[in-house]
Amino acid sequence: MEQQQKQDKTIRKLKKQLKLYMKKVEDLEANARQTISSSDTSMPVRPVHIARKEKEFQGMLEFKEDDTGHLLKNLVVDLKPRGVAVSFTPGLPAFIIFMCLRYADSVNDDRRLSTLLNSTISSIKGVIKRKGNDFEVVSFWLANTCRLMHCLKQYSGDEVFMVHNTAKQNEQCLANFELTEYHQLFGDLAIQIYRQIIKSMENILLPLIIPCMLEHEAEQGVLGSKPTGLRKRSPSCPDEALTVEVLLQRLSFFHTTMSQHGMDSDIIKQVVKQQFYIISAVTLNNLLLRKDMCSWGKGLQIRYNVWQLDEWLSERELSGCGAKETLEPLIQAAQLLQIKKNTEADAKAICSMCSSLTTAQIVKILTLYTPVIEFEERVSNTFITTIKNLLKDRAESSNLMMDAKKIFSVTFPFTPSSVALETIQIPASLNLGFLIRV
Amino acid sequence: MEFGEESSPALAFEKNAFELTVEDVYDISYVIGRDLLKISSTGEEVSDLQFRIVRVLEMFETLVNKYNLSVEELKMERDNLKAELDRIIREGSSSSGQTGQQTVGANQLVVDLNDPNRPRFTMQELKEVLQERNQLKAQLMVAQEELQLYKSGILPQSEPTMVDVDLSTPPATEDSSSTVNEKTTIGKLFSFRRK
Repeated sequence: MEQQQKQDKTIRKLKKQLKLYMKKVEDLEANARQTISSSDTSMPVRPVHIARKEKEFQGMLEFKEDDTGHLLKNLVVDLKPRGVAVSFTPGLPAFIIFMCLRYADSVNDDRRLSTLLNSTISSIKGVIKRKGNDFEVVSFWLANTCRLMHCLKQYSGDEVFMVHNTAKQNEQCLANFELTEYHQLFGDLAIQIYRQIIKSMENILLPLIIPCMLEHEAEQGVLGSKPTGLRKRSPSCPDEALTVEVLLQRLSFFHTTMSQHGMDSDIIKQVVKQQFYIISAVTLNNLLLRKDMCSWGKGLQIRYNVWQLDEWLSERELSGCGAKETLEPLIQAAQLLQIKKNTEADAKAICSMCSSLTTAQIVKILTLYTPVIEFEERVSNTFITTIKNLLKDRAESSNLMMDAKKIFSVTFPFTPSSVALETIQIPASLNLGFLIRV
Repeated sequence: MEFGEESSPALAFEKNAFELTVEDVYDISYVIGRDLLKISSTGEEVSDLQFRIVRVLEMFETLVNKYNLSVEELKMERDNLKAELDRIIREGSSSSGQTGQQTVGANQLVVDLNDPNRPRFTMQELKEVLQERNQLKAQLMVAQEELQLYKSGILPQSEPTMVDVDLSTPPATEDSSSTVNEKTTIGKLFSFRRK
């Protein structure tokens, strides 16, 4: 009872004080206004330029969850692998998707995030399925899938992946979500796409390998065709003679396309190595079946073609990628065609030289060997027996043919990018106006 | 197969502007983008610059594309017209073989002189004839009106005016000094015989 009275008193007192202070403030304001208006007449106010503070972009793209379908349609499903926007900034689709990801992460929306990631994966899979035979499309998405995967790692906050980051990039690491599971998912997707790229290249190369590497007969006295000097980008017309130059043109087209898509050089090297393996295996397998290909002259022709391939590797700065080594069986087969095959010393030389050929292959070549010149003799049976004896201690497979379908397992080493996300502005031609740059 | 299409993207810069293809524009985009990345990678000014360069390249792509399409269309049209012209000339020369192989130039007409319906008069002559006819028609109408009025008794019988179509005049020679017989163009062209 008493307490209540006390409290009532306090309340009334405080109310009075409040009224007092309010009045004081009003008076002060009135005074302030007066002083301003009085000073107006004495000092004219110059218009002062109000500069807007420079907006600092954070490298994110705001999007609504409902926009995800539209986003992926324009950026993945319908996107052409060749255009101004994507040529100017290789990996642009990957960066755009990642910037949207960062936004979803920043607003802590796990549903928006997972919708985007899952839809991205399924859209890419869909494109590869529908256009798997189009080398340019497959190459484009291999490059962008790897770039997206690298972004997930580079901006994960994991110190292992932050070694080459700038300070700004470190600030931009994902704030709320851990996406390590998606590293694996994207890695698997990349392997899938890699297999498809090998397939699509194989389809283009296979009809060319045997004509170019084996069958093409150089003009007499001049080894190899007249060098055109031009390694053209698009497939040439069918009337052109199928020489090793034509094969190299295709390889150049593949290499240039992959480079322009921004594919990691590590991956390009693995692709080239695989390409060379296919060329080597297909050529050798064909040689092992045809008598008309097993002559001294053919041996020389093959060695010339291999030399051209090697030159191409140097030109493109791919000498260390392991491609040359895959040609070794073919090189040795060509040498075998040229080497003397009479005495026991010759046999020993052959056995030490042909380290990459199996016994079955060596014997087959010797059996098929067709001398072109009159007084050259076929390889004698005794010689072949000698060879067999010398090699019987080898522990190896008894395969005659090389496995032309073998695909070397691929790895995707982490390759960070120096691109600053806050500087990316989306080109108009991508029709993504509904994304807001944050 | 395009002649002069090189695999090195930088060579697109050295091409003649009118021989550029959209593929060249993409190669140019790639080279410029790569070079720009080398200069500087941060700062909003660079970002704006990059965006504007991409915008210009997009416009460039559109123009090159449109130009090449137009060239193709015009070539096709020209070829079509050429083929048609050749065809017509051939047809024309094969049909005129009957009349003694005349080669007719543009804007010329071949007239059969035995054709009773052949054109014989010039535009000027026709104009004059028509003008005179119109004049005479008008005069005739006036005379007819007057006649009506006389007949109905409104106007008193007085001297006949204007044209005297006197049917009792003796036959006159062409050179008669009679005022009625004016030498009109119609008279010249069609020899009237006055009764």
